[in-house]
Amino acid sequence: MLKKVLVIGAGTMGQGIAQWMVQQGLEVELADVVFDLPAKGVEKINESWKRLVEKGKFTADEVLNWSTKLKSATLETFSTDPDLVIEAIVEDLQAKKALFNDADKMIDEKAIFASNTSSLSINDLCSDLPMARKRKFLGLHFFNPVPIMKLVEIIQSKDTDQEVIDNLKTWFEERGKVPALCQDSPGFIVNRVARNFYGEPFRIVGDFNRAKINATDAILREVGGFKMGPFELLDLIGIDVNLSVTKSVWEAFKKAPRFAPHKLQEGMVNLGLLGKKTGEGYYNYEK
Amino acid sequence: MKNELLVFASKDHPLYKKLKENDLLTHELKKEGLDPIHEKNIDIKYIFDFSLGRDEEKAHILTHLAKKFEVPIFSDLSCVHGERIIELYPSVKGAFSAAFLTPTNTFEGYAKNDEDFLVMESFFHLIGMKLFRVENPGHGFTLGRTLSMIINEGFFALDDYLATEKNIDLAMKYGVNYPLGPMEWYQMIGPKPVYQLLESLHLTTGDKRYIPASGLKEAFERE
Repeated sequence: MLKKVLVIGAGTMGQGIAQWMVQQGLEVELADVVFDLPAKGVEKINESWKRLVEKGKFTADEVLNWSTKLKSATLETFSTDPDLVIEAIVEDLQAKKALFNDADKMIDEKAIFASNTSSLSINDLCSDLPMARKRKFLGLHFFNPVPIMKLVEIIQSKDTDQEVIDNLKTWFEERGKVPALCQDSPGFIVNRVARNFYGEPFRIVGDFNRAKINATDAILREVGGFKMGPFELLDLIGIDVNLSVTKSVWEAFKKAPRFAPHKLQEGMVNLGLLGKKTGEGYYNYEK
Repeated sequence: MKNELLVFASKDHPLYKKLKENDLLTHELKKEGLDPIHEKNIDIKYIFDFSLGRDEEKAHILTHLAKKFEVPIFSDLSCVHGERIIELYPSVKGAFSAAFLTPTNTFEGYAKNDEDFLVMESFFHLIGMKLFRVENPGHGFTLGRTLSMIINEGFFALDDYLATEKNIDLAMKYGVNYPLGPMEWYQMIGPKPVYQLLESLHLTTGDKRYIPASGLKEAFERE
């Protein structure tokens, strides 16, 4: 079904998607609006494979074969005959729409167009495209790190052909991914249903209290069986990143109280205490 | 220990079958009558209450038990304002959250002192379960409260035709490593604990965030 894939956006997600796609035996081009990012991205993927060979995860022959199938490209040089185009650029509606509109004019009409957006409406992203392309337009939301995380949310717009959805679902399943089908709605499944894994513990703890934070994490791990408690996970993700998703879902649901942000999130962001990346969040990471 | 116990449960409690299989259930709480124990001169040392009811129903049962027996009571306060009940009923020496079954076979447990916690721990050991001691039962403990909100959102998502139950579970297990999908967790627990806890939180706090999804409400009413 798929032989050639164009990934546009050479950041962490784009690199992960490109790496995983090549590992499935596909020819992949990695492109970006920033001129030198694709080449750097390809270099990083090759370095990652080298480490995985050293660890015995892959053979040198496998990696050699893959590296010949992965190429960098610019927005001027990418091939116009891919079977699938996956966009993974910044979460900006206008930027993504402009990219898809330009790509539509250049790329063969057989190609499926997909966005890796985590928060924007798939219907909005394809609103200016011709109907023939809309029928082949969908959301493919991967999770970081893409080569390891099994889930891919497949988001159907109001115009996506059912056949496109069904074929991709089967294709991913055959290659070890776990596709979850959903409609085009804010946060899709994960970013919506997971909101209260954080939201309710905020309300249980109430004010900043490290003992209570610690106890809450311990309960959700030891009793609930979650791999990480909400506060330690927030520190890992970035409290600012999580707040931004919370606000985006809350606003998309017309400020429904069950999605409302909490002062314990906003206060931390205002103080610049964003988690591991700043050395302090709900826990202290400074040595 | 078994001979010193008075253990009663409502039939809709998720642990009802397990208590019965282990020959621990001494009394069954009938829907129509909230006074669970009528026998006189029962020689018991501890009472374990596995009733599932709203705050006022729980209060009624505990008032009755406290009047009738002068022994420590250990009560499942999964779906009610446990902290308040502990304050109001001095004979309630410990509380647990056993209505929210977990993949770890562990429940949150609160006791006023170490000795009481040991009694609760020994009891749960009899049914192959463990307790994790917490500082305070709060309102619906921690896991039950968090889980109820996650399950409620699963129902909102179903109400909106966002995805099927199966796809919601797959997404949460493989996208964010949940030990169980929200809907399969709900299948283990049943609608009553989830609905009643949300209702209790809504009534107490007045916060609309706790309003149950219509699908959850329907499932509760069907039961």
